[in-house]
Amino acid sequence: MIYVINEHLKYDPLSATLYSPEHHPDALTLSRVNNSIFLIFVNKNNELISRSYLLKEIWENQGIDSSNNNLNNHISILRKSLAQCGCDEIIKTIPKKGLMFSANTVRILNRKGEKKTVQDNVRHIGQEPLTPALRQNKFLRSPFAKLTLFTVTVLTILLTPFFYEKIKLFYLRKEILRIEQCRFYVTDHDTKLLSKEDIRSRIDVFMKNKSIDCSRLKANVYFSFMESIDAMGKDKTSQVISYCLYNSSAKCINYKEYHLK
Amino acid sequence: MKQRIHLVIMTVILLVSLAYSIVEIYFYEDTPLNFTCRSKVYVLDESEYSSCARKSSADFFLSINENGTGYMVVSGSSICIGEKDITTLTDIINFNYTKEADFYSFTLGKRKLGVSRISQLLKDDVIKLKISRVNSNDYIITTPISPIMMCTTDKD
Repeated sequence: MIYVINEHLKYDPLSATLYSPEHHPDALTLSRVNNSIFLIFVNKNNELISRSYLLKEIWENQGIDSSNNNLNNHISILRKSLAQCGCDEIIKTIPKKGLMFSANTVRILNRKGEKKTVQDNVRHIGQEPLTPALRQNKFLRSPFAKLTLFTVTVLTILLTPFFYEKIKLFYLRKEILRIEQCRFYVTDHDTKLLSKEDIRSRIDVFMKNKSIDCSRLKANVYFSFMESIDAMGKDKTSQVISYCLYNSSAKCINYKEYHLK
Repeated sequence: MKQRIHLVIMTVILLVSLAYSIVEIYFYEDTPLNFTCRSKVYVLDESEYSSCARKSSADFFLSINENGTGYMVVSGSSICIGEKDITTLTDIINFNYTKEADFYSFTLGKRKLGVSRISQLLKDDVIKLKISRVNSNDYIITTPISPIMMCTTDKD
């Protein structure tokens, strides 16, 4: 069962949580001892409870020694938790007599399948099914959060083909440098093995010779370089540089050079 | 009741977007079956042992049909550096092709004499090419040995 204290604080002894959405966005979890103390208080609303009774119920009955100091520490922590839930001063100290939990109202809500129980000093009002997961997070309960979650899911699904293409492109070409509005890529594995400096120097020579202007238009430039030794033992180099305007139907311009070293 | 209608609408939207994504990814084509592309190629070839260090400039147009046929238009000129004789020609080369894994195998039809001076690749009767999309308009054409050119499709 779940207790509703002063019509706003929900207390679940099973999960040892306090939840007051008006005061604290998340459910507060009580320690095992505080949960036991609070359960006694809730069941004895507006009754004087002596310290010795609490010490006996919480510790001594389980064969554990404890002290007033220890009890005071726990009560203090419990009061802080209750204060965070908007229930300041709900546990009162009656000098030389003990403590008193004094809530205006305590309602008992039965979970689904739980039998209705009527307890002394507790006014039983009705049933209201609660979902613990939702109770613990105020944000997730709001329609805005649900709509946001739904929109994000739909957008993620819709953008999957875009990301798929990006990943395929990532494996097909490797960006090696940018000069103003030009992006330079290599696509074949042999060229990918060259050092960046080597590629850079070859591109610099190419840019100079062909008067390529990267300041005006966005372009993708693809670079490929191969070195081989022929049957005569001579080094041959081949280089292909392709200049393609970005997002344009203008045809790519390819510069191919073959040299004997 | 109102909540149930919302739930149904949300489920429908989710299913539609999921179907859209699956279709998009399923039909994503690395190597198109039906497309055309154009490119400009400048060649400087100083690797031959003959006396001719070749320079050429040509425009290419490649058209591939889904039915296993296609054609390419080559238009350009070629010259041996230091010589005065320039070869200028325009040729339409028909071909048949089959798809072999990632590569197309092109069987080229009749070609004009001298077209191989503009592109060495065209001297063989059978050529293997891979065509891969790099972005919305540009494709990279590679042989099994190395990339040969980039070409551009017309915008959809």
